[in-house]
Amino acid sequence: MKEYNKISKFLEIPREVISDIPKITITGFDEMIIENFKGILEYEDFFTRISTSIGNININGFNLKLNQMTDDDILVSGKIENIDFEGKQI
Amino acid sequence: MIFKIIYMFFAGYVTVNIEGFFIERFLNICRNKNIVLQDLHRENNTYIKVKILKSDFKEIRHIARTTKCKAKIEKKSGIPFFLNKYRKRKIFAVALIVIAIFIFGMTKFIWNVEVRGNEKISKEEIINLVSQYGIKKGKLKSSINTEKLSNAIRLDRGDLSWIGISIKGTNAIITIEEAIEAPEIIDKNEMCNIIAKEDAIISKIIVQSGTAKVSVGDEVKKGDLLVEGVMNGEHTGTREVHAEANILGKIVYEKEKKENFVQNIKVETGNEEEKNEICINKFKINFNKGVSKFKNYDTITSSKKVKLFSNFYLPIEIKKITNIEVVNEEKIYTEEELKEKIIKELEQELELEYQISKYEENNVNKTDYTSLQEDGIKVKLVYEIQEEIGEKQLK
Repeated sequence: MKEYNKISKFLEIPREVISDIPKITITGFDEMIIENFKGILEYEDFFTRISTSIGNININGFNLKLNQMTDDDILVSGKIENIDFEGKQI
Repeated sequence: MIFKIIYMFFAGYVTVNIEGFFIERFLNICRNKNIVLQDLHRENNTYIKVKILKSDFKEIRHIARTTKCKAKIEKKSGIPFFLNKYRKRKIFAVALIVIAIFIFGMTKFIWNVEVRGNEKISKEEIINLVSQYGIKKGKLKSSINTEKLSNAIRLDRGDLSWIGISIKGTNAIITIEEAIEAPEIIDKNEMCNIIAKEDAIISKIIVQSGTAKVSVGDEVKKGDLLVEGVMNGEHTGTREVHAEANILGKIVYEKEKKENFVQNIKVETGNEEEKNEICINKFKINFNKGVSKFKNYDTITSSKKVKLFSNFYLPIEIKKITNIEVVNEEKIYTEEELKEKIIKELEQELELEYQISKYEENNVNKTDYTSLQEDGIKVKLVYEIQEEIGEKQLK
């Protein structure tokens, strides 16, 4: 893994491409794209919990929608109030 | 995003309500099976709404059963569902396409020939002329080379100074410019005679060169020799010259007519009936019975070509026939009225026959003679015209 890291760093390959760590993109306060997610743990219109390989992402807000869900990325839209991460204990 | 919407529309999608307590589990299984979920949102505590592609729906059912959820279709949209809905109206769709193709096909032909700019030459003559060169009803537009044809026609016809053929829609518009025939100019050095160009009585003759063959008061016919291009001299003998002379002739046109004081005239009663007829090329469809209900009537026919948009003519004509009822009535004229009427008629007839209006007005002298008869009057109208009647002709 370490060797691999060196090579990829040298070639400037994005980390989310070669491993399964998530990439989170937030546009404004109302749209959030999570790539490399693993699954949905909870989904309500005010609270959404999404699991990834390194931990969970908790999203609080109003009228949350999962606009588009494919096998490796998810688009959460709605009024996002706060986000927090629960890192896995290694 | 727009591509996705278009793709969904073409592939067909269903809006599904999913109800149950383990919705998260349902979503995760969907993710694992590579099912794309669109516009997922929670309507209520217990159910969510989601859009799924038509092809994925079977699997959704299966997943819902395993997760103890209920999947219910709310709405089907997209082209596959639309086609399925109207599958019984195949003939309608086919007919629509056939008509579209038919109309498109029809626009490839010429259905109307229009002539513009003609004054002396009649419209029919031009249409006949161009039809010899291939511009006629029902001809393929693409088979006509307008430039080549207009050149060929202009070379063939001397009385056209210019001809332009343009094809607009299903119209062939032929614009012509008539040539003014140049009078034959005879060179001063050429030997020539002078002949009469009209029947007339010579009233004045001045010869500059040549020998006069007629004298004042002679009646001449058209084409008669007036001045011969010959000079007789005592010393020089006979020699030929270019004849030059001013010859004025009196041309007389006359006509007489007799009419009675009591006459039958037609009076319109104001009643009319309309009939319509459709002509498809030469095939006629009548909408009314053939026989008119009036005893005496005049008929006016007007026809109109059916056109698409502004200039796509179709080979269909709508004919409108109007019958106007007339009644014969007796009218008694006074002498003055009758005379006026007859003179008017005679003027028109003479104009038609001899084109009096082509002469200069100052040279035209008009007189009328009236004679009373037992039950009517007889009017004679005489035109006397002073006119140059000589015309040069090569020997």
